[in-house]
Amino acid sequence: MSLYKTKLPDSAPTLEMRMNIPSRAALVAPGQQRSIWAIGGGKGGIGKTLLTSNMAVYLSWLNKKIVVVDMDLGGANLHTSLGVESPTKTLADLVIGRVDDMKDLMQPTPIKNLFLISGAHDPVGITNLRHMQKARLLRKFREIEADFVLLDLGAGTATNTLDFFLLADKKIVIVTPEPTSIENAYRFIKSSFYRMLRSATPSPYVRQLIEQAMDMKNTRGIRTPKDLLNEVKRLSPSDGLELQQKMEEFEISLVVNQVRVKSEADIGKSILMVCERYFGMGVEYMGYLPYDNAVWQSIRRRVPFLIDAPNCSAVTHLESIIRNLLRATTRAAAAK
Amino acid sequence: MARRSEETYYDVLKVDQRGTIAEIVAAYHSAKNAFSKDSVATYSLFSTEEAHEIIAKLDEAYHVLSNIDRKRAYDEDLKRRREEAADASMPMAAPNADGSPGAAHSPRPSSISHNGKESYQDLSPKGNFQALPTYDKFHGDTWKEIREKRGFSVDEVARITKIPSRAVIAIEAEDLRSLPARVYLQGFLRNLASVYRIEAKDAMTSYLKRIDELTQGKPS
Repeated sequence: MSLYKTKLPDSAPTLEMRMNIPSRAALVAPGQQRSIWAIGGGKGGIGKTLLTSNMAVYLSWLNKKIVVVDMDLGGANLHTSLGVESPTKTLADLVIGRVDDMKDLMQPTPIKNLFLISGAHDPVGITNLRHMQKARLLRKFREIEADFVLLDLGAGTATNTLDFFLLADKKIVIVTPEPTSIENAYRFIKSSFYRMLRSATPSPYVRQLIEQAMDMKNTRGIRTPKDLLNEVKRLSPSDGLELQQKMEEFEISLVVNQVRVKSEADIGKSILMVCERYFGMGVEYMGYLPYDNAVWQSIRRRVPFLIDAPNCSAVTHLESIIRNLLRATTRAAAAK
Repeated sequence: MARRSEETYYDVLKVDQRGTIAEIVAAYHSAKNAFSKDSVATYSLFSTEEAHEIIAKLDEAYHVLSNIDRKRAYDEDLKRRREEAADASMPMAAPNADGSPGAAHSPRPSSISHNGKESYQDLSPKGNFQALPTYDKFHGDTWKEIREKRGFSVDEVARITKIPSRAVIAIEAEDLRSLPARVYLQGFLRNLASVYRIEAKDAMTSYLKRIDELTQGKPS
C-alpha cells in the first residue's frame, strides 16, 4: 500500500515544456542503451538518498523510464525515502544467485515509469562483495532496460563503492557546507580518481606510483593528482601524457545540499576551483538545494519533497540541477 | 604542493587576458574567498604557509591586473616574452650564462615587482626618464651613456634584467672575449633596450654590426 496521500500525476506536461527535454537519442551515446548516474559523496547523512529519490521522481515525470538502485549495501533505505513497502526481492538475491535477471528485482513504485531495485534487509556480509560478484553486478547494471539508471551509493571510500561510482556516465558528488562533509568529499573524489587511473593504466610502473600516491603519507611528496601527474611526467613523459589524457576525461558533477546562505552556495565554486587548480580534474557545479523545513518534514513522512511539498524552494533548485545534468549528459553523449 | 613556474597572472586568477577589470575583480574575490583561512572548502587541503603563499600570489596578480596602466604594461611585456619564446633561436628561452633561469621563464616582467622597488611606473618615460639624444650608432660606449643617462648602475640593470653584470660590462666595453654567444647577446640587447625604453631593432642591428666589424678586424 502506498504511503502517498495525494493523487500522483502520470506525467507532468508543464514540466516537459519548462525543461525542453532532450530526446532519448540525444541523451545516450550511440550504441548505448541508457545513461547511468551515480550519486556519492563520502559522508553519510548529506542527502544522497534524498537527491536520488527526488531526481528519480522528476525524471520519471519527464516520461523517461527510471530505475533507481540502492547501492548502499548494508545500509539501504532508498525504499523508505520513496515510500515503498519493504521489497521482497533485493540485490542480495542476484549476488547469491537466487535471481539471474535484473528485471526480476525491479519493483514498481507508486510513480509511473519509476522502478526500484532495493538492497533492504540484505544479509550481513553483503557489503563485502567478492570480485566476481562485483563484476557480475557491474555487468548486470549495463543490461537494465531503462532511460536512466540512478545508483544511490553508500558512504565511505570502499573499493566497491568507488567501482560503482566509476561505472556511471554521470558521476555526481553531493556535499553539505560543513567541514566534515567537504573533507570527506575531497577524499571521495581523490580516491575514485586514483582508482580510475589505476585501473585504466597499463603500465605497472605508473600503477605502482598511483598506489604510492593513494597513501597520503607517501615519501615522494605526492599529495594531489596533479603532483602525481608531474611526477609521472618527470620520470616517464610518454606515460605522463597518457595519464594526463585520462585525467582530462574524468569529470565530476557537484551538488551542494542544505544551503542556508549564499556564501554556502559559493562553496561549490570553491571546490570546483580547488579541483581544477590543484587536483587537475574537471568539476562541474550543477547547483544547490537550499535548506528547507519542508524537506526534512517530507523525509519524516517518507514521501519525496517533490510530491510532499511541490511548492517549496527546493523544487526550483532541483529543477535547475536536473536541467544542468541533462545538458551535460547531452553534451557528453554528443561528444562520444 | 606542485607549482607551475610558467603561470602568468591571468593563470593565477583564472581570467581571460581580454577579460574586463570587473571580471578580474570578481575572479580575485572568488579565489580569495576560496583560499582564505576561514574557508571550509580548503582548510583541510593546505597548510597555513601554503595558504599564505596562494593568497600572496593572488594579491600580486590582482595588484597588477586591477590597474589599467599596470595591466597594459604587463600585457606588453607578456606579448614581448611570448614572441621571444616563440622564436627558438632567441636566447631568452635558455638559461642565463650564470646558470639562473632566463628571463623568458619568468611570467613576471623583469622590471615589475609587487613588493620590490622597481615597477613599470618607475621605469616609464613619465617617471624619471628624460628624452635621449638621437643616436646614429649604438656602440659599446653608446649603451653605457644611455644607461648612465637613465640613472642605472650596472648592478641595478643586472638585477632588473637578470642579465649577468659581467655581460653588461662586456657589452659596454665591446670586450669580444667576454661577450656571450650571439644568440644570447641578441636577447640581452633586446632586454636592455626594453629597460632603457629605446627602439630595440635599430640599436641591436647597429651594435651587432659593430661587433661583426671588430671580429673581422675592420672597425669603422
